[in-house]
Amino acid sequence: MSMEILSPIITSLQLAFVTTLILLFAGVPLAFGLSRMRGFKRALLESLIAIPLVLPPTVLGFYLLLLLGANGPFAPLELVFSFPGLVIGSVLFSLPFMIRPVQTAFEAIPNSLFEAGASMGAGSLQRFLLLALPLARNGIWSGMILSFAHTIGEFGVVLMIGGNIPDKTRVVSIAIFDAVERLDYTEAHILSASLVVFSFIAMVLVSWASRDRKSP
Amino acid sequence: MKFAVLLLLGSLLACTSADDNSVLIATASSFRPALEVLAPALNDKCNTNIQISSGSTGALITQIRQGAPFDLLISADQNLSKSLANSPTNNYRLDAAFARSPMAYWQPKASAKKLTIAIANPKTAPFGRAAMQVIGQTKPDLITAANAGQAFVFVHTKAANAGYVPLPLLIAAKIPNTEFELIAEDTYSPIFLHNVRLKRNLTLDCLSDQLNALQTITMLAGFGYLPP
Repeated sequence: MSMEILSPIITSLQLAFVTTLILLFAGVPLAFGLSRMRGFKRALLESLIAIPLVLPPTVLGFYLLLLLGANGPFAPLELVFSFPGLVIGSVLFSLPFMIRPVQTAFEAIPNSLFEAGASMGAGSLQRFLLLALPLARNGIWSGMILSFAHTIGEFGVVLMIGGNIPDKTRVVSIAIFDAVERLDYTEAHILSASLVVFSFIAMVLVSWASRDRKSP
Repeated sequence: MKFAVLLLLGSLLACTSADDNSVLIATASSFRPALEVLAPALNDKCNTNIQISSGSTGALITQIRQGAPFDLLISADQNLSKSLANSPTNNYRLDAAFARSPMAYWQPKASAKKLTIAIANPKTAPFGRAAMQVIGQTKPDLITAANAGQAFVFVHTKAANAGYVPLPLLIAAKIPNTEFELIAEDTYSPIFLHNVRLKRNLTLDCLSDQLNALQTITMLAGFGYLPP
């Protein structure tokens, strides 16, 4: 397989790995916090996190470009058109895909279990690590797989803040766009077919992770 | 948490090493096929490894202004390149034009359907502006592509049944000359190709010299390019 095809696949996998990893460590505690929250504050925070579900990716990309670009407040960090910049965009854009299933899984845990844990002397950290996390593992798996798959398929945000730089920001979706512009339909077919197969596998895994393990 | 460890390992393993000798060229999409053919010879002569990113000149210049790490821009829009090079906050160098690109009207076959014409975005691509100059006051159904390369794809995939496209793209794709006609050059502003050195080093000096070399100009003539 040529580097023209392999390089964007590697970049996409790298981006999805790093994004999912960050979302795992930041998103799971956030989802747990949200599941314990009530009232207006929760509605506000949930809406804020869910915005990328309905917002065109180019909008997020545009504002990130203004923030991270040469004239923005974070210009000295040189994040735009770089891999770390892509990670920031991907984490923000994939955040609801991690939070939603994990939060739902936490909410399904009966409160009585936490009360029992507390009565046996478990602190809040222990209740989170030893009760909540194991019981929400299916939701966490779903969140991780969805975040990973969503990052692999990202286009708009990447195009806005990453451009099309070989070996750095040219991910699979951009490489497909690029290959079509070059009339290289073979490369476009190979990359597109690999995404179709990957997406199907991801959905099967989500379905598997979300299954009720207690049912026969 | 095993998966988390696997993720971390995967992230580290996926890291690709950067090639210090590489030069990242941002090129107008109309020049990409020719640059891909030229690249091996340029690599040999300048001892480098060319990597290519393409788009409309306007979009590429916007990316450069936002900090995109390109080394060399091959532009098809002299005015935009001048404004980029004349910006006091940088050290860019605009070189003389090395080729002129003709435009053609491509209609693969006469169609009974309503004519839809693909053009590049006139706001960001010189071929789009040139197409609008030719179209003038007539009001055909236009499909605006992001750049000249995409306008070509629209006609190639029959999303549009005609288009104003760069001649070199038609030649590179081996389109029979019965399907297109050259547009008279006095009906639109000429489209010159030139490079802007975005950094200063010997490799870029070498590439700039090579693009203006007689051998390159001869090779570009095979793609339909004309001397500037």
